[in-house]
Amino acid sequence: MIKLSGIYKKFQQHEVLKGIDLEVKKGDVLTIIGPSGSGKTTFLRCINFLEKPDEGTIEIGSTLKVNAIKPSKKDILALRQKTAMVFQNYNLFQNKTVLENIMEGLTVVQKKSKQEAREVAERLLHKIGLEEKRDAYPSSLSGGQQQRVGIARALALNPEVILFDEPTSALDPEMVGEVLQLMKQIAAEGITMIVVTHEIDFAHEVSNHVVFMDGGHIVEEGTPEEVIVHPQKERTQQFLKRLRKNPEYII
Amino acid sequence: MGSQQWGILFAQIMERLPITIAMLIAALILGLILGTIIAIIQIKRIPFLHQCMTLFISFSRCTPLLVQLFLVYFGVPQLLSAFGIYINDLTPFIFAVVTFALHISAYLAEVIRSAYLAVGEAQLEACYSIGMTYTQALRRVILPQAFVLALPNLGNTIIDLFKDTSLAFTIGVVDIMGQARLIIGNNYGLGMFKVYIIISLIYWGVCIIIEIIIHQIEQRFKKGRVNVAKT
Repeated sequence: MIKLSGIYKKFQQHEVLKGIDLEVKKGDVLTIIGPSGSGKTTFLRCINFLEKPDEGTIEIGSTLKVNAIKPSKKDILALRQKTAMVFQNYNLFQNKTVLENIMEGLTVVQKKSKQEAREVAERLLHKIGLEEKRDAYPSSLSGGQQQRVGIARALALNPEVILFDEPTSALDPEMVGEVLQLMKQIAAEGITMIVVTHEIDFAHEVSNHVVFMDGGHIVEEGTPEEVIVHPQKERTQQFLKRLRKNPEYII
Repeated sequence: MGSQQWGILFAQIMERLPITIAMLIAALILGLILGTIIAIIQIKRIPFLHQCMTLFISFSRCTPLLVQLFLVYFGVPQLLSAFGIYINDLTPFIFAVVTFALHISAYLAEVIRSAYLAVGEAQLEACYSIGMTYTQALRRVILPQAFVLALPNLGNTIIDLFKDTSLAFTIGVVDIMGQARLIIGNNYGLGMFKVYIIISLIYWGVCIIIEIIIHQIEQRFKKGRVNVAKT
């Protein structure tokens, strides 16, 4: 269970998050949608303190509760060790091979033996279908392959929740499918996920909880049926309409 | 007279090459450690220390090395003796190493800082996201990458330092330059030309070897980094 309450964040004078409350149950697949600049990504980054919220509390499980006003280093570290993140630009460790990328968190953070870490990594490589790339460096992989490794790196840690920050936004249209497919697969395995995305179809199909954000607020939330198919608020309808609009002209 | 004498002079000067190399390596290791610490202070903008280091870098880069050498060799013992510490019996070699280390640490700090920044925030965030501490991130991901990026500049600094060791003779270190000066002095200034030809060839030769070593290291550590400029 993850519970966030009263999250506020300001960049200089610009208020990005104006009090966000959210609860995610174990096994939930939560998607956050909304226009650019609505604070989706900032909110996601607040969950693992890549961005320090100005106010609010973050609870993960029943044991860890972090107050954003004066968090201890230990709390922040604990928060990060219970979560994992998949980045828009993959952010794989450039100086490490695919296999080492997946093993890194297991050996360095979780202090598992090399042997054990390697077994986990090999199993995940099989799952993402990149066994033949195990000793390749990230720079020699395609975007889609890198992102799959990014997902494997997050999965390896067996975190309470995986945070996805627009995981397909930097990909060629051709590669979006393979990444979404993998995400769908792990969602089906009951892994808790929070996904910031522009892929409305993915949100509709895979998630069981959708949040629509605009201007630093949660405008609407509920099941995909409620938010995406039958949105109640005007702002949501407007956003979805523009997204779904048929092309005005066809070349 | 003739070729035989060239050989003798060459051998006499080469005898002292280990001293020059020892100075280079000792100063380099010390300088790298210091430079890394200074770079981290500068990157993290640690209050007070940050200002001190900015001042130190400025002083180090904007005063002649020869002046710094004299300051350390003549100034520091005097300064310390005021506190009841006497270091007059240390060898000039140690003073030279300390001066060179301080001097290049200022340059290396800038080299390391720019390489660190070139690795980018994204790699650090990736480390944080899997629960690493800053120290772990530095050791496992950031510094190994920064090291590769820093190599070309590091090579330049090492070569500069190697040539700068020739100043150590001024405080009495008998390195290859010191030896050359002694030979010339013993001959009342005769054969100066030969000695300087020989010593310049020695400096040149060693520099080429350093260049080759750096190049080899660069090839070895390049690993995942793709050279974008090379097509």
